[in-house]
Amino acid sequence: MNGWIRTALLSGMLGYRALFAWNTPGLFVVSLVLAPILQLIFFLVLGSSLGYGNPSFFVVGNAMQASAAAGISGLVAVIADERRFGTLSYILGSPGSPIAVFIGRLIPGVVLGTFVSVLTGLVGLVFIGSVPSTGQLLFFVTAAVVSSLSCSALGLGLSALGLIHRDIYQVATAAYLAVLVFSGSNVAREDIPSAVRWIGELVPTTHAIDATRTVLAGASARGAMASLLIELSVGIAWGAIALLGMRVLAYRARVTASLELY
Amino acid sequence: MRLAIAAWLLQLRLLSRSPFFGWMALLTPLVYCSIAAMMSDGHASTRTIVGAGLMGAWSTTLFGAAEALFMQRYSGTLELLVGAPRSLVAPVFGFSLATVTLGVYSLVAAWIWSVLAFRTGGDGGDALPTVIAALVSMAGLVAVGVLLAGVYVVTRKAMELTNVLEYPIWLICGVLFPSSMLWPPFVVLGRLIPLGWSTPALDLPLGAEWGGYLGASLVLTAVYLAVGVVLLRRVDTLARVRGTLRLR
Repeated sequence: MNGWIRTALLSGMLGYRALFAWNTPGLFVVSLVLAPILQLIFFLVLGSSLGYGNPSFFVVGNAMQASAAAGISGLVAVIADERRFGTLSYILGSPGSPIAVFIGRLIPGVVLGTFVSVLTGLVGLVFIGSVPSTGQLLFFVTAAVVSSLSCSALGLGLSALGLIHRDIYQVATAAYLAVLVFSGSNVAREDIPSAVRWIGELVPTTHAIDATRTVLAGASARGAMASLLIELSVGIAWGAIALLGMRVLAYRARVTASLELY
Repeated sequence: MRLAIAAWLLQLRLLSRSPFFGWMALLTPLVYCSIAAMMSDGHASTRTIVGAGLMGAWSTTLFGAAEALFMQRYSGTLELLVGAPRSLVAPVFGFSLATVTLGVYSLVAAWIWSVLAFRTGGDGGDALPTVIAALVSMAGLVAVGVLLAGVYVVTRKAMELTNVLEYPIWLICGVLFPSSMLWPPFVVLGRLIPLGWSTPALDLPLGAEWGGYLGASLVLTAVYLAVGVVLLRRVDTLARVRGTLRLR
């Protein structure tokens, strides 16, 4: 068990340094920090031009959505890049647990997602001149952690497809855009057509956004905790699907000997 | 011209077979058109449809210009392309035209989507000024693509650079909303790009003001093309002197 945890931690640390572009800090900051802030400004202006929502609505939605970029795109890119650099077959062929390696990759996703989410939220709140209480801020940070966890779990599940499918970037793009539309990050969920509104229940960030908006509107954190627990359940469900998918698809990848195809 | 057409056809075939670009060209306008329509009680205006289509066109231009030369570098053919006795300008122009052609998918997709999902194909009325403004916007994107390609030849960080340029251009050029909504310095920045001049024409009827915006956009398009050609020629020499084309 110790070996498994050590592998997971090492994988997280090495993956963070090598595959999350940490070796080029300028680029890292620009793509992970600047891009979500620009997205927030874009939706603030769009909402204002259409007379929709209030600034705080967009700040919370886009702050939580920022964790999806790090969690989904980051996690998917990790497996896709392993394949591109030709190291995926070594991971699956090594005597260590490949599952531990991939679980380890969750750690930077969650840490970065939380960091970006909180930073985007703080910048947004300062920008709109809103001053939340310490309790509200603590809840915001907690929601960002849970949201990042569930986004990374979804990212891990999607990245499992990278074991058998060569071009998974479009899957990541589609998933990110689905979260953007159905989570209610920029459109109130009651304005989403009822035929597709249920999708929002299954994607990460939906319930974290609901909970944070409720708390920032002045409601008690205790009441919003239920939504946060649902968000956590969504993350756990995606994590379970990811683990099962990894196991089944890793086996399938060995059988079809398709790992070196790029 | 023959080389540019050959490059255009080749790149268009490559991009059309790429699920990544296909999805980007289709999904980007669908998503942003849907969000804007849901914010407007389920109504997609002509401005929203064309704006969302242009957002997709910009994404394909941005990623396409980077991808074309990144893949050439990655597969080791960039050296051959630069080392060939023909100018680098014609193939790069063809590549850029191909990515913008893919952007036409975005415009069509946004329109079909708004008809199917929101039962609206725009506001009605005279579509001619909007169609012309959209075409001028596309021409501007070709010129920007040529300029970007010149930058991408000398940098190995092309793909990373593209990740941060998507929202800023959508924002400062007022692609989905009138740029008059923006903080004035952002408007000024947007006016440095052909798209920043052509998008205000989307909100105007045929007339002198409409023509003025499109005229300015076309002038800037010509400037971008000229600068792109000069840059590509300089890069052609620089790449040989530095000998970095094989580096990934």
